[in-house]
Amino acid sequence: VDAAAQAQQPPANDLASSLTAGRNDDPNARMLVEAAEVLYDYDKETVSAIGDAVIYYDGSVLQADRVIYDQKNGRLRATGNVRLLERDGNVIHSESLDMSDDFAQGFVQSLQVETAARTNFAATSAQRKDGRITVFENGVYSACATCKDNPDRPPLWRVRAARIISDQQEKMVYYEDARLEFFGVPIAYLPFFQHPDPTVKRKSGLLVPTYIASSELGFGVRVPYFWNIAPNKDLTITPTVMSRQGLMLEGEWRHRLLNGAYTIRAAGVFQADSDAFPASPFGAADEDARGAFQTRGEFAINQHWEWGWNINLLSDKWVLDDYNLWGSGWNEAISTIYLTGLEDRSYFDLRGYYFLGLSSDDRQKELPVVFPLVDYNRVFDQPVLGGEMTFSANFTSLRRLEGDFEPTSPGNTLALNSTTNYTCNSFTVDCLAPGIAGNYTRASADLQWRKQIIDRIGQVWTPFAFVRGDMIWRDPSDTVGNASFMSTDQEFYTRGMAGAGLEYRFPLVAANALGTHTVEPIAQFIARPNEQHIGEAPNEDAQSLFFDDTTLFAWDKFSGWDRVEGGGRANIGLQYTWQMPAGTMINVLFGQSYHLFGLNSFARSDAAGTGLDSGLEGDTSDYVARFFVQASPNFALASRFRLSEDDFNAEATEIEGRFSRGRLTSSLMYARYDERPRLGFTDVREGILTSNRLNLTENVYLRAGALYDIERDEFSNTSFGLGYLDECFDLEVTYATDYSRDGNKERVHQMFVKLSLRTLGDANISTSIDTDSDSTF
Amino acid sequence: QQATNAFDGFSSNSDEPVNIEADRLDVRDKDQAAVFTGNVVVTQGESRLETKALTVFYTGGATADAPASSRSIRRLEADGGVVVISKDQKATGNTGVFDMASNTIVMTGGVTVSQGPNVIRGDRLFVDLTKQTSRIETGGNTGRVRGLFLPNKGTPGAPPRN
Amino acid sequence: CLRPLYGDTSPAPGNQNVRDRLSAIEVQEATNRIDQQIRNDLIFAFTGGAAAPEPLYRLRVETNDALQSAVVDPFTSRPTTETYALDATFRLDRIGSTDGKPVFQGRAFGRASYDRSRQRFATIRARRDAEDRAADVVAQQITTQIAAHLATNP
Repeated sequence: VDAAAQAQQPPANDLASSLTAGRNDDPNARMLVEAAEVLYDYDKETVSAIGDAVIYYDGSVLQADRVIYDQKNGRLRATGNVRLLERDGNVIHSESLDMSDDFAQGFVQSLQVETAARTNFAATSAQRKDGRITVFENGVYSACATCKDNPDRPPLWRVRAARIISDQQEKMVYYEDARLEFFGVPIAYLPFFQHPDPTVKRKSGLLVPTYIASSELGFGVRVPYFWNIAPNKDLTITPTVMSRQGLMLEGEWRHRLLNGAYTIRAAGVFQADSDAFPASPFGAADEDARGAFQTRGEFAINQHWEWGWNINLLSDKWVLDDYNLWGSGWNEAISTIYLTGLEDRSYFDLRGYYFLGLSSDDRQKELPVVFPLVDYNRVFDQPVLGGEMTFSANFTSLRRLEGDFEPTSPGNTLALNSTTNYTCNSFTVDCLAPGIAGNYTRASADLQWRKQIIDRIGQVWTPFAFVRGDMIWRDPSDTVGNASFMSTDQEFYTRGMAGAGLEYRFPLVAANALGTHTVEPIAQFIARPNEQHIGEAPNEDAQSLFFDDTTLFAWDKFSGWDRVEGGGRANIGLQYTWQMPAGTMINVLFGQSYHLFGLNSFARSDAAGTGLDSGLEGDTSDYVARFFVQASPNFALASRFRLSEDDFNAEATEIEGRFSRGRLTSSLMYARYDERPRLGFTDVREGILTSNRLNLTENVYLRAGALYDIERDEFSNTSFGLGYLDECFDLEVTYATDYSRDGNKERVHQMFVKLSLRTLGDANISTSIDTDSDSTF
Repeated sequence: QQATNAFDGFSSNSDEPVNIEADRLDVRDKDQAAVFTGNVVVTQGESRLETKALTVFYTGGATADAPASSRSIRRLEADGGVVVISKDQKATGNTGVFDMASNTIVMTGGVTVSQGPNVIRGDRLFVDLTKQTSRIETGGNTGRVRGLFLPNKGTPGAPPRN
Repeated sequence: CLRPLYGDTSPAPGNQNVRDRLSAIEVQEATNRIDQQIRNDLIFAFTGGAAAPEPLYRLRVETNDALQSAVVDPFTSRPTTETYALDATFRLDRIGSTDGKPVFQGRAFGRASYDRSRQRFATIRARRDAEDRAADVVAQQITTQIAAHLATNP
């Protein structure tokens, strides 16, 4: 018999995890009674369990000093610090409890209920009907934990109501004649109020409204309605009513399928008062109908292959910012369609790009449409000739309607704006063409071989060789702008490159009390023919050339396929790594590059000016260095330098520090880039970016972030936040100033207030105060 | 559904004949006691008791052929595993003492009382036949009394199921 | 005093097989392009391009990345030079070890900067190149730390 009794008693973890949705009772569930003493009374047909009695039944557990089970009427009466743990995780504390023996009907006296979602009800009395509805008389609901050492101190917030009805079938909680109280002080009266049961993850209904107040939109409220069509499908319709601009309608459809998911969202408005916005070209004053459309999707074909899209269409450059749709800070809206495959040692990517420039200086016709763009890279599994063979390829084809011409050295007085398409002849001085109008297609393939040989005394020799070929179709539109850079007639030509080289490393290691030191001299020699057709074709994907410690030992220092490095070159460096026993690691690298023979590809620039002022034009390059420190997880320093080879002047400096200790976490980045007049950077660029968080107490924190432009001696943007966060309440007040956007000098100051009562909902209010303009908001 | 009327059969005021069978019988007249040993089975009406050793104390003289029935039994002591069965009720324990004078029964040692699907297990069972109550207790150590019931289905107050 | 990391003439007996123990490290498969770049670099640094023997160790690398810039053009609110930051934690376990204690673990990070311009395609390709360069630095740092550890703890 004992084994049978044991089997009936569900193990403890079953109780907590048996959170079934409804109350589908197990018809033949048995009730296990445990106590210090069990008393039978045959006349009254009662069984009394006395002495911290515990009754387990169908997933629920009833504990009390004394439980009387009246078999004749099927009632259970518990008295003396009663604690009922229900199957769905709710815990009811009370002095006395009278319920049916299948735990479905019950009447509880002065109880306190903690739900599985860590919210709690308290009431003078509660009535439970047919296992579904619990009615609390003058009850109190809060998601805040009651204070341990002084339980009757009012929690941070609670809802006090004459009646609270919790319907476990409908998964809703209703309040009648309710008041929202903060620290026990009533601040809002809510005659009728309801919210979904805290354990619900998806439920149709109104989401929390957002209030809007801005000089351009006027006063407004944004009320989203969420329609939970199916566990994998939902639709959110969000009307926004604004006093100055009228009604904006927004919709978001989300659909998850077996192998992926996609979303479609759109917004549209017929502006009542377009003059509220700046006139063109800095605003949409002359547009009445404005809208935005976005769709994203990602689908897995199999374990290695996936495809997807991210498409954005906007009526104008400023609609997202003006109606703060879908996050802020959109400098561009890039649309792409892609197919990507990632195997063990190979990678394939086919995609297309369409760019929408959203900055004031963007002119849509100057941005290319790129399709197709193919990248393929594969490292052969088996060694070839005893070494590693890598094959990579790229195919790029793009079309641009108008040329993008940029003035470079100072003295060009023409104010830039995006209404006219300038050509180099419009500028009085030098000019570059980062974007050539017309069609351009290139197909490239590259085969690389390398092998590492370690000799007896520990020197590491890495002979390597590579061969590469390009096929280029060039068709610049014959406009005056293009002609000043390259012949505009259609042309096809091929370009080849091959090279061989050797990398020599001799790592030396020493271990002592201070830790492990590794000193590694590195020397690399590469012999190649000269680069052909420099500047005869547009340079679209290799425009950026940032010579630093990471490009020092690259076989081809260009960042893309449109240029290929030629000539003989030697790269010399010394690396030192110090690993301290406590785990701190310091890594230092210092080096320089030498042009040995042939044509220095970096001395001859192309239409985009790649290589100019890069520090590689001369026979001996600038020095490059890095100094990294990683001291356990809460301190890291990454600093990198480029020092000019003649006077050690800091051409480029980047110092980034991350630090966290106790309550303070902060990160700071300082960067200074010397003038590069031939690339259009006529003055020094220097700035500091910092973000910090200080936890004043366990719940209260302070946040501060800023981007300071040292050259202009002004803050580009700042943000300060004060926040309170605990298990049931979240309040954050942020004050942010944003740099002038889109050319107009107006600084934007914004105040965000985010308030959320866990399980009830959250509200956020944002007002933007344009101090420079006349309006008060 | 009376959980304990299994013992009513042995209450002194029942007029049913008591029949005792056993492998062996030793009579100790000076103690006025009869000791039955080996597969002892006591039946009275629908109740039945099985044990290994049963000592019957009685008042008045004892004769070989029908010692128990013709004398009033003062006290029964069963030892070495006791099982009491009546209709669908059953009680087991190591020892059982039936005291006719106080009309009480005490069983000790791993006591289990079962009746249909309901079972209670504890260390000691104390039954008061006059007050019609019985109490199962732990033996004072940290053990617990454990009971297992099939709740009364249907609306409360329905007549008890048999 | 300094002695060759891979040299076999050095006094420490077990030292010669640092390369053998390195090439017996199996690098866990990557789930994105950048992790695969790190993995390919590590496999070459461990095996030198030769065939890998039966693996004795397993190396797991977890990465996360971010873009940061301290120089933003106030008129177009676009960064003019941006840094790709790649942080990695790595853990080396002996295959078949049951105590769950790693042989060696540590952190590595790589930073690579690139210029941004109005031509968004050039910017995307420049960032892709910076990702590869930062991955190479991370792979190099992991190799140096593991090799030094194996050399000094035979």
